[in-house]
Amino acid sequence: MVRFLQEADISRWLLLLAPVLALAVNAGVQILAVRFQKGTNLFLSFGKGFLAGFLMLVILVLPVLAINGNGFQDGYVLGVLVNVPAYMALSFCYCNFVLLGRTSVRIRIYSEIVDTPEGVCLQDFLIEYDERALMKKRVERLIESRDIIEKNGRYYAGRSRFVHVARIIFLAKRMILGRESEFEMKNH
Amino acid sequence: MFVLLASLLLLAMAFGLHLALWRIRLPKRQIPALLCLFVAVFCASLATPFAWNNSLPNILHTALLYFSISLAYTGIYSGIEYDSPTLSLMHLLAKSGMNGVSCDEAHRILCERPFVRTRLDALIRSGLVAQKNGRYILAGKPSFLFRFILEYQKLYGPISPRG
Repeated sequence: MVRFLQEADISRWLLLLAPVLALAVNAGVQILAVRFQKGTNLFLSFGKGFLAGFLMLVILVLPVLAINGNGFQDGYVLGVLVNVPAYMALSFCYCNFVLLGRTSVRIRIYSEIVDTPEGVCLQDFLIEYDERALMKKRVERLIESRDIIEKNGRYYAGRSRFVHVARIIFLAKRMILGRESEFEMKNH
Repeated sequence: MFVLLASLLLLAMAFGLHLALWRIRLPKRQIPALLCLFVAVFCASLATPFAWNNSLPNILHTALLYFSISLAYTGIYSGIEYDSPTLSLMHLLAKSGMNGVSCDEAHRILCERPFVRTRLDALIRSGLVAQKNGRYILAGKPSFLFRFILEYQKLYGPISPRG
């Protein structure tokens, strides 16, 4: 017989809801940081939101672990080994969701089509989203953040953070898609 | 322990199926297919005795961990499916090592990748946009998800210049 209808332990439900409540705090603090704290950029606000949410997670989980005497091992597994990765994954999803609206070319293109009932022709897109201008802006940002070093008309890799990410992503592309670029001919 | 082990097992099965199926035949719409796969694996697990003999909080907690990691992977997957200009450039620079890449060559290589056109093709493939008389128009009603993403941005103020 299914036992789930008999479960009524409030601490168990609190452990379940803790990552979701922590995410809500994360999102709230992040939005407030961007709107009302001068000098806070988006990535800094993500950091503040994440820490605030993590603090909420600790506040919700610790009392449950402290009270839960006999079931301590299970409580520890749920509170720490399950809830912490769940909260981190949810926070990552939230960051992606926010960044999509700010940097995704596809979403901006779609938004322009939605706002233009008579439609948009390709030429208008290519003028507005000039590939060269896009690339130039991206490179400028990377130079500013020292991810790229420009010297004597050549570019060199600077900080290694994006290099590591690129290596992992391109390895994943080879393993999953069998190619390194969406512009390559597929061989499988 | 059930929640942790069940989640890890389900994730392992889902990723294994993902790799196998993608090698057999690449889906046309990869991200929707990936999401369907994750949902299908979880739903299939609900039909097993392990689910029947467990409490609702345990099942929901398993779902929370499983789907949060699945969604996080799906978010990363768009970076695997499509070329990111930044990562493509960094990959190129990493391969070139101490030699570096000339500015002109880097710009040329990046501009050879028609990012805007592939995004338009992706929107057409997903049924959100149609082409008519040489113009791109909305196909059907605006996507709720895209609208939600854009509306959410209003909480932050104006979007920074393109790029």
